[in-house]
This record gives sequence, structure tokens and C-alpha cells, in this order.
Amino acid sequence: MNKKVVTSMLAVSLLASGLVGCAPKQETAGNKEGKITISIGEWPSENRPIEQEKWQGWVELMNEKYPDIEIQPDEWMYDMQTFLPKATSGQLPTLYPCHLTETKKIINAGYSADITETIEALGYAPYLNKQLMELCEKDGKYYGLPQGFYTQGLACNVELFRQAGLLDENGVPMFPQTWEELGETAGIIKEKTGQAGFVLPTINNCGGWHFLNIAWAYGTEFMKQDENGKWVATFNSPECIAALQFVKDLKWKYNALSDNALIDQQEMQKMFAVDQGGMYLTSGPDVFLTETYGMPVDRWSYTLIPAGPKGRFAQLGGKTWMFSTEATPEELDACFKWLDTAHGYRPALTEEEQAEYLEKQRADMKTRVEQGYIVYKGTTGVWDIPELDAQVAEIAKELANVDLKMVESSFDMSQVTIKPEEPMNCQDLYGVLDACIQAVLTDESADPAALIAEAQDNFQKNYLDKAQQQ
Amino acid sequence: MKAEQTMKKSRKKLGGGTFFQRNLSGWLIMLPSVFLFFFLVWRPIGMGVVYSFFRLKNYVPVEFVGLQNYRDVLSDTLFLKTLWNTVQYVIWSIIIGFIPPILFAVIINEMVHINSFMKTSIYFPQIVPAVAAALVWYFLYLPGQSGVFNIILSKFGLPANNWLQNAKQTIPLIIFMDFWNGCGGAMLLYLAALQGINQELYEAAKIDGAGIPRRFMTVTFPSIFPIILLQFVRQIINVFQIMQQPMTLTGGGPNNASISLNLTAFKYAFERFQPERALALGVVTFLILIVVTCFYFRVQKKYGE
Repeated sequence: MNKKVVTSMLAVSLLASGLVGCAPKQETAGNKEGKITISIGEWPSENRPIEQEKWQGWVELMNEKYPDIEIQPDEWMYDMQTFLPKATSGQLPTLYPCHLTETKKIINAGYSADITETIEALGYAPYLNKQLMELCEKDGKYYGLPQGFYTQGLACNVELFRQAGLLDENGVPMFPQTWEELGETAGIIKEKTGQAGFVLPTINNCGGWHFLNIAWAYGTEFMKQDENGKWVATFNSPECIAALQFVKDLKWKYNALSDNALIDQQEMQKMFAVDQGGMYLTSGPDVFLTETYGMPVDRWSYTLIPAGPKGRFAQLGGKTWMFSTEATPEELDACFKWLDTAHGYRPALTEEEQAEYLEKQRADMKTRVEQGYIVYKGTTGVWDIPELDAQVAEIAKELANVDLKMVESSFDMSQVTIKPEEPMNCQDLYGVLDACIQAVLTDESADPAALIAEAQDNFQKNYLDKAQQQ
Repeated sequence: MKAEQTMKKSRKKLGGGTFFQRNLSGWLIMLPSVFLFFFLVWRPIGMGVVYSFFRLKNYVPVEFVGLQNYRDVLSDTLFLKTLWNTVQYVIWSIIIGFIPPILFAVIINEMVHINSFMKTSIYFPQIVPAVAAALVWYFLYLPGQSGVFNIILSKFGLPANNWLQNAKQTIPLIIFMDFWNGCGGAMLLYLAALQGINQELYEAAKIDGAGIPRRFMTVTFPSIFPIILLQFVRQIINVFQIMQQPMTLTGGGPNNASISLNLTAFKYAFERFQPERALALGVVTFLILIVVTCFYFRVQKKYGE
């Protein structure tokens, strides 16, 4: 064969192999064979067979009710580092949950679809919790749905409290009522058990997120609008300095923290679950405690967030359903049908609907108990139907798999002021505060006043000023 | 006249036609690589520079903002600290990681036995996945009594160290991990250069009565000097772009003590959803590195042949 022909064939085959990588993306959702296909994020992975089976059951229900809708599982879970590439390349699931604290950022960046029309057409709007919907709203339009919400409280490891001699005569942990008491209690745990008395995450913006609860309790106001409507950082105050001094004291005065000062959320949960941490702030029993780290449910106890000089302040936490901007109106509609069928996500207004809703909640909680998750309270609060919430709470108590005396002090939330996150650049604020917390926990000579002054300056110049220029 | 004749002759020999026609098969063979380079390297770089002058939404330019992204990045109160940290990474990488690969290469080159074992041992960390390496070093550097290095220190009755959590030590310790990871590759380059030295030069030096130090200074060092210089410039360029190591070990902390220019760019893009600022910072880094790269090319040109 001619040499030129051979080289040309070789070149063409190389080019063809190169072009294989440039093939259009695989169809993940959309209209296939006349069906509406939607992908659902956070689908349970293979190592969670019971949960996977439950979700498969929901798919079968969907197939019965809506044969024209096809459900595609997608195991992707929201995380900061993979979100943007997936969003910009149109690879996000049609419906995916994200943390409540990330909701505003995603909406402002334009990565969640406008679902206002669907919400209004379904008549959901008047019944959805107003405070939560504010987080899903921009310019009068809705871009997300609250999945469920919690507020921050204090989780206590019963085993470490026992080892430290901090259980009362009923075997219940002697819960700290103030932040100062928390420091003392945590110090005792560290002294008696050698394990961290309190676990405070400090990286990936988690430090700032947790610190907000402490700072609010000390009376900190993080920002306000001046007379011209400009946002001004205001946390260079004695209150915020005192809060940071408290964090510093946790390490150097009470000796209550772990030696490792760079801890993320997962490490915090792991430490608590494997008896290396006595207390941590959380919105409820994270599934990873039992599922990933095998924590026995009887280690769990939970109480209200401690009080500071200005009272108990807890940040709103939870998750939000977000919708891919690639979704067509038909696909958005299919997502709502999935939410209704799988999660019973609709306002239960009639007696019949309420009974159905309660039955579904009961069945879900039973399954969770069978799976070994900690159950004693329901995920409610999304709908402004308080009587229904009360009934769900009763079912949860009835089915609880932890001793209620370990958690009942957390039920009366009347003493707690629940706050949403700060209105402007909150994730950036967390990042700035992370640096302050890391500084006081790694350097005994660090000056909280100087750090807070510098943090305010950084936050104002790098974030607030620039955000308001745009 | 003679030149014209020669050209005509050579054109005839090549078969005539245009430049592309004459080298058609060569161009066809190059085409896939050019195609891939264009889409994976040149186009993203070009678009990155252009996009750094725009406000982006979903990675689509929506508004030309001139130098605003550059002003935002350069006026960030942490920019100078980040730049200084990055320079410190480079300085520490020269101090910790520049000489040892040369020494290892010289020693292995002189070894008669187990030199293959030594080569494999030193190169081995290079094939350890970066995340696995970071995880290993995370446990080595862990503060308190559970950290591996601290356990070793305690065996000698020495107090525990805070390792990465002491802001003054963070950068050199990250560089030490990077050196462990990358030393093998550099060592192999030097070894290849050493093994290419004409043995007759050593024999001539021996006849002239040169001992080992003199042979090293008069034969070995001048022979591998070009590769040392090239490797020096390459190391500066590589370490100036450090990101993954501080991201996995410290997240840039404590208190931004280990944050680098590229890690800041990563945070702009993926944590703050401001890819335009990440691109502007990338262009700033590129401009700084272009000076070093020009020097690299001059060195390569001088010693390349």
C-alpha cells in the first residue's frame, strides 16, 4: 500500500479517536421516547441498600401514577468544589438538595430555576413557611423549596459525660446552660477522659458558621445598612471580641478542645461518633453518626444551644430543594410530582390529606428506626400548619429509639431566638471568621481585638464594598 | 542564479505544490495533536484572558468591565499576603528541595549495588496518588499525642510539635511533603544527565591526578549544569502554582498562613462563584511567571543543543 495512504489513514484514525472525547454530553434527563425524564440528586448509594430499596419503591409508585415520567437516580450530593463545574456544564440533577446556608449563593449566581409559576399553580405559596421561603426568593420569584429545617442545638456524647462523671442521678448529662458553663464542662471532659470536651470545626467556612451562634449570644451585630442603604460591617465591637475571646479560652483557659485545630464538618461528626468529642453544635442527629461511624444510638443526647449574655441564639439550618436551570417546565412539573409522591411534599389541608401525611411520616420514621438511625423528632416546619407539626412531633416521640429524657430539654424552643444567616455575603463572612478562629486556636498570644478589627476591615473592603459596586 | 537553481531543484525533489501540500502527511499526523492543543490548551488560555475583562454569568460573558476584575483582585486586602506566601513557597522549595535530588542522583550514579532498588525507592512517592499522599502526611503531621511525628518525638523524650498548625512552620512543612512527592522525578532527570557524561573525561581527569571532589567540580558539575539550571527554573514555575498541597493539608490556614495565589484563584472560582476574578488572578500569576519562563527558554536555547 502507498506510504502516503497509510500515513493518511493513520492520521484520520488518530483524529477520529481525538474527536471521540468531544462527543456531545450523554443525555441524562429530558424527553426520551416521549417520556419526561428527570434526575434526582442525593440518591442513596450502593452501600446504603435499605435506603436504596426505599427510594426504588418510590420510583415504582411514580411509574404507577405517572407512567410518562422516568426517574433517573443521581448519587451526586451538593458540595462546594464540584457544584460549579456541574452547574456550568449542565450536569446538575434536575432536582437536588443543598444546604440552607448555600441557597442564597446558588440563587444569586443564577444556578437554580425559577419555579414561581409552578408553586403558584399548585397553590403551595400561602402555606409554605415565610421565613424559609425568604431564603429561596429573589426579586419576588421563587428558586427553591425548603426540604425541612432545624435549628442549632448542642449534642452531647453520653458515654464521655459518663466517663467524666457528668451524668445526673437519672443518668442524663448535666447539660451546660451557658457558653461559660460549656467551657467548664468541656474542660472537665478533656481532663477526665483525655478526649476533646467540645469540637469546633474551623475550616471550609464551618468555623464562622458555628461562631455566629456564639457571637449573637454575646450581642454581636455583624452588619447593618446606613442611612444611604449601604451595608456596613459592624462586628468590630466589644461583644464580638468577647465571643472570640471565649473561643480562645476554650483552647487555652479551659483546655477543652482537641489538639488538632484545623477540623472540618466530617471530622467533627466522626470525633463525636467515635467518642473522641464530648459536645458539638448541630441541628440534629446527623445520619453519618450511625450510618458511617456506627455510633450506638444510646450515645446521643441533645439540648438547647447554650446562652450568652444576650440569651440563646440559634441559626436556622436545614436543606433546600433546588432545580436545574436546564429543566423544561414539564420537567419542573415532574419534579413536583416526585416530591409529592416520594416525600408527601404538599400542604395537607383536608382531614384526609392530613391523615395520609401523618401515615407517611409514621411509616418513614418506622423505617428509619429499623435502619438504626436516631429518631425522636420529625422533619417538619416547612408548611405553616402548626397543628400538623404537633402531631408529627407526637408520632416521633411514640416511635423514638432514644430515651426521651436524653433529648426532651431540647423540645421547648421558646427560650431560643432563631436567626437566619446574615443578609450579605454570609459565606464570605464565615471565611473571614474562620481565619480569626484558627488564629486564636493555634497561637496563644493572638489578640482577639486586633483579629476582629482586621476581619471587619477585610470583610468590608473585600466583600461588602465590592458586592455593592456591582 | 545558483541559489535559484538549487531552490528549483529542491522543490522538484519535494514534489512541488504549496507548503501544506508538500507536507500533507506530516500535517495530517500533527492534526489531532494540534486540534487537542487548540481546544484543551490554547483556546482555554486565550478565552481565560479575554473573559478576565468581563463579568460572567454561568461562564458566559455578560458585561465588559475593563480592568475591574483586576482592580478587585489586586485591591483585596489579602493579595499581598498571598503573593508573599507564594514567594515563600518558592524560596522554601529551593532551600529544601533543590540540592537533594542532585545529591541522590550523584550517589546512585556511583553505586555499584542496589542502585535499581534506590532509584525505585526514591521514585516511589511520585506514583502515590496526591490525595493518598496528603492523607498520609496529614496523619504524620497531626498535632497532639496521636500524630506519628509526635509519637516519634515522644520516644526521644521531646515535646510534641504543632507542625502545620504553627503558622511559622506551615509553608516549609507543606514544601517538605511536596519535595517527598516530587524528588524522584527530578532525581531521574539528573541521573540521566549523569549517565550521559563521557567516561573518557573521568579517565583523563584520573590520569591528571584528580580526586573525587575535583572530578565532581571539573567534570560532573559542568556536564550537568545546564539541566540543573533548567530544573531550577522549572521548579520556580511549578511551585509558584502550588495549590493542591495547601488545599488538602490546611485549607490555606491557619489564619491564611499557607494560602497561595492559585488556591485563592480556586476559592474565587469554586467557593465564591466568581470565575472572572479567578481568571484575572490567573492572568496576574501568568504575567509574573512569563518573566521566569522567558528566562527558562533562554537557558534552554543556550544549553539545549
